[in-house]
Amino acid sequence: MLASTLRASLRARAIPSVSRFAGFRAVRNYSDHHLETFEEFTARFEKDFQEAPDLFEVQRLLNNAFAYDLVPAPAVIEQALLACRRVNDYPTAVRTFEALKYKVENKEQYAAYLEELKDIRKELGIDLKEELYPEA
Amino acid sequence: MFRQSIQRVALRSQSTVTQTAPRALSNAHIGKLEARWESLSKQDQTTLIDELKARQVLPWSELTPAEKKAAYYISFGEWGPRQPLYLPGERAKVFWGTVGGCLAGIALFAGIRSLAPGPEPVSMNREWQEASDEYLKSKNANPFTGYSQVQ
Repeated sequence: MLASTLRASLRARAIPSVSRFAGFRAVRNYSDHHLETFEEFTARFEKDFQEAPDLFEVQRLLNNAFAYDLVPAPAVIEQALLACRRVNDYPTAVRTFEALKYKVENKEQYAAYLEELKDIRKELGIDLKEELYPEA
Repeated sequence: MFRQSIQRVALRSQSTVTQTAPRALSNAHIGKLEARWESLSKQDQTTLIDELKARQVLPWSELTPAEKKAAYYISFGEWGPRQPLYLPGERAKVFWGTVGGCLAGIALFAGIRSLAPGPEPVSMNREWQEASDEYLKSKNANPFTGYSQVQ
Protein backbone atom coordinates (compact mmCIF):
# COMPACT_ATOMS: atom_id res chain seq x y z
CA MET A 1 0.00 0.00 0.00
CA LEU A 2 2.90 2.27 0.82
CA ALA A 3 4.43 1.50 -2.54
CA SER A 4 1.25 2.39 -4.39
CA THR A 5 0.89 5.76 -2.62
CA LEU A 6 4.52 6.56 -3.41
CA ARG A 7 4.01 5.72 -7.05
CA ALA A 8 0.86 7.84 -7.16
CA SER A 9 2.63 10.85 -5.60
CA LEU A 10 5.55 10.50 -8.06
CA ARG A 11 3.19 10.41 -10.99
CA ALA A 12 1.39 13.48 -9.65
CA ARG A 13 4.72 15.35 -9.43
CA ALA A 14 5.88 14.25 -12.86
CA ILE A 15 2.94 15.73 -14.73
CA PRO A 16 3.38 19.44 -13.84
CA SER A 17 7.14 19.23 -14.51
CA VAL A 18 6.45 18.16 -18.09
CA SER A 19 4.00 21.00 -18.61
CA ARG A 20 6.54 23.49 -17.20
CA PHE A 21 9.17 22.60 -19.81
CA ALA A 22 6.68 22.67 -22.64
CA GLY A 23 6.92 26.50 -22.48
CA PHE A 24 10.56 26.54 -23.68
CA ARG A 25 10.80 26.61 -27.41
CA ALA A 26 13.26 28.15 -29.82
CA VAL A 27 12.78 31.89 -29.45
CA ARG A 28 16.16 33.16 -30.64
CA ASN A 29 15.62 33.22 -34.37
CA TYR A 30 18.28 35.83 -34.99
CA SER A 31 18.65 34.98 -38.68
CA ASP A 32 14.93 34.92 -39.28
CA HIS A 33 14.18 38.19 -41.01
CA HIS A 34 12.44 39.04 -44.18
CA LEU A 35 14.51 39.17 -47.39
CA GLU A 36 13.45 41.92 -49.76
CA THR A 37 12.13 40.63 -53.08
CA PHE A 38 12.86 42.27 -56.43
CA GLU A 39 9.32 43.69 -56.56
CA GLU A 40 9.65 45.21 -53.11
CA PHE A 41 13.02 46.68 -54.10
CA THR A 42 11.48 48.21 -57.20
CA ALA A 43 8.54 49.64 -55.27
CA ARG A 44 10.83 51.07 -52.58
CA PHE A 45 13.15 52.83 -55.00
CA GLU A 46 10.30 54.10 -57.18
CA LYS A 47 8.79 55.71 -54.10
CA ASP A 48 12.12 57.10 -52.91
CA PHE A 49 12.91 58.64 -56.29
CA GLN A 50 9.47 60.22 -56.42
CA GLU A 51 10.05 61.82 -53.04
CA ALA A 52 13.67 62.87 -53.57
CA PRO A 53 13.88 66.58 -52.77
CA ASP A 54 17.27 67.56 -54.21
CA LEU A 55 20.18 66.54 -56.40
CA PHE A 56 22.17 65.10 -53.52
CA GLU A 57 19.35 62.75 -52.59
CA VAL A 58 18.83 61.69 -56.23
CA GLN A 59 22.52 60.88 -56.62
CA ARG A 60 22.59 59.09 -53.26
CA LEU A 61 19.61 56.96 -54.29
CA LEU A 62 21.22 56.18 -57.64
CA ASN A 63 24.36 55.05 -55.85
CA ASN A 64 22.28 52.81 -53.60
CA ALA A 65 20.07 51.44 -56.36
CA PHE A 66 23.09 50.44 -58.43
CA ALA A 67 24.96 48.99 -55.46
CA TYR A 68 22.79 45.85 -55.23
CA ASP A 69 23.49 42.54 -56.91
CA LEU A 70 20.76 43.19 -59.46
CA VAL A 71 20.01 45.58 -62.29
CA PRO A 72 17.24 48.00 -61.29
CA ALA A 73 13.99 47.51 -63.19
CA PRO A 74 13.15 49.96 -66.01
CA ALA A 75 10.44 51.42 -63.78
CA VAL A 76 13.10 52.45 -61.24
CA ILE A 77 15.30 53.95 -63.95
CA GLU A 78 12.32 55.86 -65.28
CA GLN A 79 11.57 57.34 -61.88
CA ALA A 80 15.26 58.18 -61.49
CA LEU A 81 15.24 60.05 -64.80
CA LEU A 82 12.11 61.92 -63.79
CA ALA A 83 13.78 62.81 -60.52
CA CYS A 84 16.79 64.14 -62.46
CA ARG A 85 14.39 66.22 -64.51
CA ARG A 86 12.72 67.52 -61.38
CA VAL A 87 16.01 68.70 -59.88
CA ASN A 88 17.08 70.01 -63.34
CA ASP A 89 20.32 68.09 -63.60
CA TYR A 90 21.10 66.85 -67.08
CA PRO A 91 24.50 65.18 -66.42
CA THR A 92 23.06 62.87 -63.77
CA ALA A 93 20.48 61.61 -66.27
CA VAL A 94 23.29 60.83 -68.74
CA ARG A 95 25.23 59.20 -65.95
CA THR A 96 22.27 56.96 -65.09
CA PHE A 97 22.45 55.37 -68.53
CA GLU A 98 26.22 55.09 -68.22
CA ALA A 99 25.77 53.26 -64.91
CA LEU A 100 23.21 50.98 -66.54
CA LYS A 101 25.68 50.14 -69.27
CA TYR A 102 28.22 48.99 -66.71
CA LYS A 103 25.66 47.20 -64.55
CA VAL A 104 24.06 44.93 -67.17
CA GLU A 105 25.70 41.66 -68.15
CA ASN A 106 25.96 42.11 -71.89
CA LYS A 107 25.25 44.44 -74.78
CA GLU A 108 21.92 42.81 -75.60
CA GLN A 109 20.58 43.60 -72.14
CA TYR A 110 21.73 47.21 -72.48
CA ALA A 111 20.02 47.44 -75.85
CA ALA A 112 16.86 45.98 -74.32
CA TYR A 113 16.92 48.58 -71.54
CA LEU A 114 17.43 51.37 -74.09
CA GLU A 115 14.50 50.04 -76.12
CA GLU A 116 12.33 49.92 -73.00
CA LEU A 117 13.31 53.45 -71.94
CA LYS A 118 13.23 54.92 -75.46
CA ASP A 119 10.08 56.96 -74.93
CA ILE A 120 11.11 58.70 -71.74
CA ARG A 121 14.58 59.33 -73.14
CA LYS A 122 13.05 61.04 -76.14
CA GLU A 123 10.56 62.93 -74.02
CA LEU A 124 13.21 64.34 -71.70
CA GLY A 125 15.82 64.76 -74.44
CA ILE A 126 18.56 62.75 -72.77
CA ASP A 127 21.58 61.77 -74.84
CA LEU A 128 23.79 58.83 -74.04
CA LYS A 129 27.43 59.34 -73.24
CA GLU A 130 28.26 57.44 -76.43
CA GLU A 131 26.31 60.06 -78.36
CA LEU A 132 27.96 62.99 -76.59
CA TYR A 133 31.48 61.59 -77.00
CA PRO A 134 31.37 59.34 -80.07
CA GLU A 135 35.15 58.99 -80.27
CA ALA A 136 35.72 57.76 -76.71
CA MET B 1 -4.60 99.54 -64.04
CA PHE B 2 -4.90 96.03 -65.42
CA ARG B 3 -3.90 97.35 -68.80
CA GLN B 4 -0.92 99.08 -67.33
CA SER B 5 0.34 95.90 -65.74
CA ILE B 6 -0.10 94.05 -69.03
CA GLN B 7 1.95 96.73 -70.72
CA ARG B 8 4.62 96.37 -68.10
CA VAL B 9 4.76 92.61 -68.58
CA ALA B 10 4.96 93.04 -72.35
CA LEU B 11 7.75 95.53 -71.96
CA ARG B 12 9.65 93.20 -69.67
CA SER B 13 9.31 90.27 -72.04
CA GLN B 14 10.83 92.37 -74.81
CA SER B 15 13.71 93.72 -72.81
CA THR B 16 17.02 91.96 -73.21
CA VAL B 17 18.16 92.58 -69.66
CA THR B 18 15.57 90.68 -67.64
CA GLN B 19 15.02 87.64 -69.78
CA THR B 20 13.79 84.73 -67.72
CA ALA B 21 14.86 82.01 -70.16
CA PRO B 22 18.60 82.36 -70.74
CA ARG B 23 19.88 82.10 -74.27
CA ALA B 24 22.07 79.33 -75.49
CA LEU B 25 25.66 79.77 -74.41
CA SER B 26 27.98 80.31 -77.33
CA ASN B 27 30.30 77.57 -78.50
CA ALA B 28 33.30 79.82 -77.95
CA HIS B 29 32.25 80.21 -74.32
CA ILE B 30 31.80 76.53 -73.44
CA GLY B 31 33.36 74.58 -76.32
CA LYS B 32 36.55 72.56 -75.75
CA LEU B 33 36.06 72.86 -72.01
CA GLU B 34 38.14 69.72 -71.40
CA ALA B 35 41.29 71.56 -72.41
CA ARG B 36 40.89 74.64 -70.24
CA TRP B 37 38.47 73.88 -67.39
CA GLU B 38 41.11 73.38 -64.74
CA SER B 39 43.01 76.52 -65.71
CA LEU B 40 39.91 78.69 -65.31
CA SER B 41 39.70 80.81 -62.20
CA LYS B 42 37.38 79.70 -59.41
CA GLN B 43 35.09 82.62 -60.16
CA ASP B 44 34.85 81.77 -63.86
CA GLN B 45 34.08 78.17 -63.00
CA THR B 46 31.28 79.20 -60.65
CA THR B 47 29.84 81.56 -63.27
CA LEU B 48 29.90 78.84 -65.90
CA ILE B 49 28.25 76.34 -63.57
CA ASP B 50 25.51 78.83 -62.73
CA GLU B 51 24.90 79.65 -66.40
CA LEU B 52 24.64 75.97 -67.28
CA LYS B 53 22.34 75.37 -64.32
CA ALA B 54 20.04 78.11 -65.56
CA ARG B 55 20.03 76.51 -69.02
CA GLN B 56 19.19 73.07 -67.64
CA VAL B 57 15.90 74.35 -66.25
CA LEU B 58 14.66 74.45 -69.86
CA PRO B 59 13.55 71.32 -71.70
CA TRP B 60 16.75 69.40 -72.32
CA SER B 61 16.06 68.95 -76.00
CA GLU B 62 16.69 72.70 -76.35
CA LEU B 63 20.25 72.45 -75.05
CA THR B 64 23.00 72.62 -77.64
CA PRO B 65 25.44 69.70 -77.91
CA ALA B 66 28.23 71.92 -76.60
CA GLU B 67 26.19 72.77 -73.52
CA LYS B 68 25.41 69.12 -72.87
CA LYS B 69 29.05 68.15 -73.17
CA ALA B 70 30.14 71.02 -70.95
CA ALA B 71 27.58 70.14 -68.27
CA TYR B 72 28.55 66.47 -68.38
CA TYR B 73 32.25 67.31 -68.24
CA ILE B 74 31.83 69.60 -65.23
CA SER B 75 29.81 66.98 -63.34
CA PHE B 76 31.50 63.72 -64.31
CA GLY B 77 34.50 64.60 -66.46
CA GLU B 78 38.03 63.43 -65.80
CA TRP B 79 39.28 66.29 -63.66
CA GLY B 80 39.88 66.80 -59.98
CA PRO B 81 39.07 63.61 -58.06
CA ARG B 82 38.02 61.81 -61.27
CA GLN B 83 41.35 62.38 -62.95
CA PRO B 84 42.75 59.01 -64.06
CA LEU B 85 45.83 57.75 -62.23
CA TYR B 86 47.86 57.66 -65.43
CA LEU B 87 47.32 60.05 -68.31
CA PRO B 88 47.69 58.52 -71.79
CA GLY B 89 51.36 57.82 -72.51
CA GLU B 90 52.39 57.84 -68.87
CA ARG B 91 52.36 54.06 -68.50
CA ALA B 92 54.84 53.71 -71.39
CA LYS B 93 56.98 56.42 -69.81
CA VAL B 94 57.08 54.54 -66.49
CA PHE B 95 57.88 51.22 -68.24
CA TRP B 96 60.71 52.56 -70.37
CA GLY B 97 62.08 54.58 -67.47
CA THR B 98 62.33 51.38 -65.40
CA VAL B 99 63.94 49.42 -68.24
CA GLY B 100 66.40 52.27 -68.84
CA GLY B 101 67.26 52.39 -65.13
CA CYS B 102 67.97 48.63 -65.05
CA LEU B 103 70.19 48.84 -68.13
CA ALA B 104 72.08 51.82 -66.69
CA GLY B 105 72.65 49.84 -63.48
CA ILE B 106 74.02 46.84 -65.40
CA ALA B 107 76.28 49.09 -67.47
CA LEU B 108 77.58 50.83 -64.34
CA PHE B 109 78.31 47.47 -62.68
CA ALA B 110 80.15 46.10 -65.74
CA GLY B 111 82.07 49.35 -66.12
CA ILE B 112 83.29 49.35 -62.54
CA ARG B 113 84.22 45.65 -62.79
CA SER B 114 86.25 46.29 -65.90
CA LEU B 115 88.19 48.99 -64.02
CA ALA B 116 89.19 46.59 -61.20
CA PRO B 117 93.02 46.50 -60.97
CA GLY B 118 95.48 43.64 -60.29
CA PRO B 119 95.17 39.85 -60.08
CA GLU B 120 92.30 37.93 -58.47
CA PRO B 121 92.61 36.94 -54.80
CA VAL B 122 94.52 33.69 -54.09
CA SER B 123 91.34 31.99 -52.86
CA MET B 124 89.83 32.28 -56.35
CA ASN B 125 92.08 29.63 -57.95
CA ARG B 126 91.03 26.01 -58.37
CA GLU B 127 93.65 24.44 -56.06
CA TRP B 128 92.78 26.64 -53.14
CA GLN B 129 89.07 25.85 -53.49
CA GLU B 130 89.68 22.10 -53.70
CA ALA B 131 91.88 22.29 -50.60
CA SER B 132 89.01 24.08 -48.87
CA ASP B 133 86.71 21.22 -49.85
CA GLU B 134 89.14 18.67 -48.39
CA TYR B 135 89.28 20.55 -45.14
CA LEU B 136 85.48 20.89 -44.91
CA LYS B 137 85.10 17.17 -45.68
CA SER B 138 87.44 16.31 -42.81
CA LYS B 139 85.21 18.36 -40.51
CA ASN B 140 81.96 16.72 -41.80
CA ALA B 141 80.68 20.11 -42.84
CA ASN B 142 77.06 20.60 -43.89
CA PRO B 143 75.90 17.16 -45.04
CA PHE B 144 72.50 18.47 -46.15
CA THR B 145 73.06 21.00 -48.89
CA GLY B 146 76.74 20.42 -49.62
CA TYR B 147 79.80 22.54 -48.86
CA SER B 148 81.63 22.76 -52.17
CA GLN B 149 83.71 25.93 -52.50
CA VAL B 150 84.59 25.35 -56.16
CA GLN B 151 83.31 28.19 -58.32
